[in-house]
Amino acid sequence: MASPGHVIETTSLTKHYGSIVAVDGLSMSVPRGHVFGLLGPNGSGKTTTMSMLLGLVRPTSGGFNLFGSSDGLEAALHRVGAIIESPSFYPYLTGRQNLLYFQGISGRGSSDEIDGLLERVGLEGRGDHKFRTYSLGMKQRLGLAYALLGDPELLFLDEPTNGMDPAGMAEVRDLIRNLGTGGRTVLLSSHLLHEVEQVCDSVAILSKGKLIAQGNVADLLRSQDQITLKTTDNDKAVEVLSALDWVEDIKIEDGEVVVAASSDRATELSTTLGRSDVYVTNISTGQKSLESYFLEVTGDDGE
Amino acid sequence: MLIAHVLRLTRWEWFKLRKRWMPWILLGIAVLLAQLGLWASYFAYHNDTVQEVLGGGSSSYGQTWEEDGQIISLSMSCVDYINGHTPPELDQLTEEQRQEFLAGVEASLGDGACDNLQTRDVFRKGFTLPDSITGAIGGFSSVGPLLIMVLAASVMGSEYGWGTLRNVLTRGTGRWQLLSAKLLLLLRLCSDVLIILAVLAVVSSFIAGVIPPSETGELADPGEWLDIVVEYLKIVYSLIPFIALSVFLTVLTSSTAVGIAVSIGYYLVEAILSPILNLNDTLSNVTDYLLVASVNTWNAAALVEVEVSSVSGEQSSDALQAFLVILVYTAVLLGVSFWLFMRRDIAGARGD
Repeated sequence: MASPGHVIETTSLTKHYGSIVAVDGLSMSVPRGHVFGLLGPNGSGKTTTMSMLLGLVRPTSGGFNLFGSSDGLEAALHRVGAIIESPSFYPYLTGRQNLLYFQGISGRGSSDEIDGLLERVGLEGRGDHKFRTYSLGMKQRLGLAYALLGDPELLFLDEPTNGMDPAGMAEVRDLIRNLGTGGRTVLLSSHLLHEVEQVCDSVAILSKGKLIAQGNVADLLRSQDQITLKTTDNDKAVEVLSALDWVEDIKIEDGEVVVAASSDRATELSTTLGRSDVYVTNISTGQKSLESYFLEVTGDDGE
Repeated sequence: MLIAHVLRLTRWEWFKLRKRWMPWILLGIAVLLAQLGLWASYFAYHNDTVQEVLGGGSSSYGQTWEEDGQIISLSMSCVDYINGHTPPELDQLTEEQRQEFLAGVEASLGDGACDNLQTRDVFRKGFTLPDSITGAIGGFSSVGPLLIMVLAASVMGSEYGWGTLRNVLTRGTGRWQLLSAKLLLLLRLCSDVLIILAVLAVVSSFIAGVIPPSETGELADPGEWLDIVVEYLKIVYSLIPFIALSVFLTVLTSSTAVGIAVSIGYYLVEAILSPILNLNDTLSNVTDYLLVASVNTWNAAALVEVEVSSVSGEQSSDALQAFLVILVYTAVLLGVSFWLFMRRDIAGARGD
């Protein structure tokens, strides 16, 4: 059962496709009310994980729980909206008819809701056109409207900005950010790390089916703070600073000393060096982007 | 609650399906074939040449007289005889000659020579009530399995092809409820098609009846209604295993195209194979347990008349076996379909 405050909790969730391990012992918690990013290179198991959580794929072993509920997955899915992989709808139906159908089978909602959703995702003028005539960006928008049907508490969005133009991506980013307010939880998978950094509160990073990092985005990046120094004696500076227990890493790059430490420690660093007769001529603090952090922990190109 | 959910799903499956061309095209084919059969009977019935060719009405009686140097030649075919059409030249004869001619006609054509013109009665039944109704819905048993297999594979397989199955299931729709809803819809469509064919047969029979020379039937006997209802139920039952076969193959392969091709392929192969197997006494027993052969036996059985004669009693035994064989096929195919559908992982769009 999920602990209070977590809408998704997985325990050693595993999926094998023959000899291929798609997801390997994934234990992950998604906090309620967060926009949670699921990151990983191609084939890292993001979509398989989402598919297992939505009951589309049977786990080989391990388990998961949605909403901490014991009512079963089907009941939990009534509180979920999801769009997995590319948006797939009935091509001979209009966008509105597609939404009407999915609203109908779940037995809740009204036509007013559909009008509102079409407007919200920017399809108000194309709702009565057949799905087969939609561009990829419009299909994504319809997918978002579909996911929002019934005002779900938990949203699974798999690459929701795929195929969208920059303006559309910005719109969807704003939309997702707004969705994450008011207690709704969003599980977002995206290959656009910059987008995830802007939108998500927390992330989990998968590589080869394994969870390799999880946490609040700000905390993860703060742990990657670095302080860059120019000193009168770089070698001695390295020797002095290496003795400090809060310095995680230190190296000399392009004639500068790069220290992996919280930027809050910059003054303390300078003072410590001064006491050892090493003087700082230039100091700057910086934070790694999620992208560089991602590349570092996965050791691979991001999707 | 669960049943209400399945019924709601069925309603929404129909919402989707009725907006596609396929079911209407298949319905059009069924209606066209049924009406073609009805009106072909009408025209054959009213066309002497067709009757002579099809009905064996080539037998005729002729006689010639010479009166004042003028030769009078009269002849009457079986068709004229059965229709009561006498030759107009008959009036030129004396009463004695007329009696002689009619006696000759009776002796030549009235002594079983025109019995094979019973075919004519079959034609008449083809477009007059109540037989036109049973003809229309009974005729569906020949082409209906093919049409319903195409529809069943499409209803199930397109969800895989378009990748929409994921959307349906992630709305909290249970897998067995979804499959049940699709099966219910297909069953309902079979029933509705037969009703449409029956109604159109009634309309056409009335139209055929008012076109001179009028030849109408009527549904006066309650037993005739019973015949129609029994025929209707028989045909519906005979279509269920084909729905099951097509759905099973589609779920197994996750493909509309394969579902259609293999189910129709099986139907045709068995239709060809059964007569060959029947040539051998030992192998002919095998056909008793084949699907298409059992359905044919079931459709051919006159269930209403089972108690009339010993021959019908034998039919009753065959019909019971066919009924059970169909039931077993349906149960196994649907059982495996549900098992597969419940267990299988659902992938993205397959594009077929």
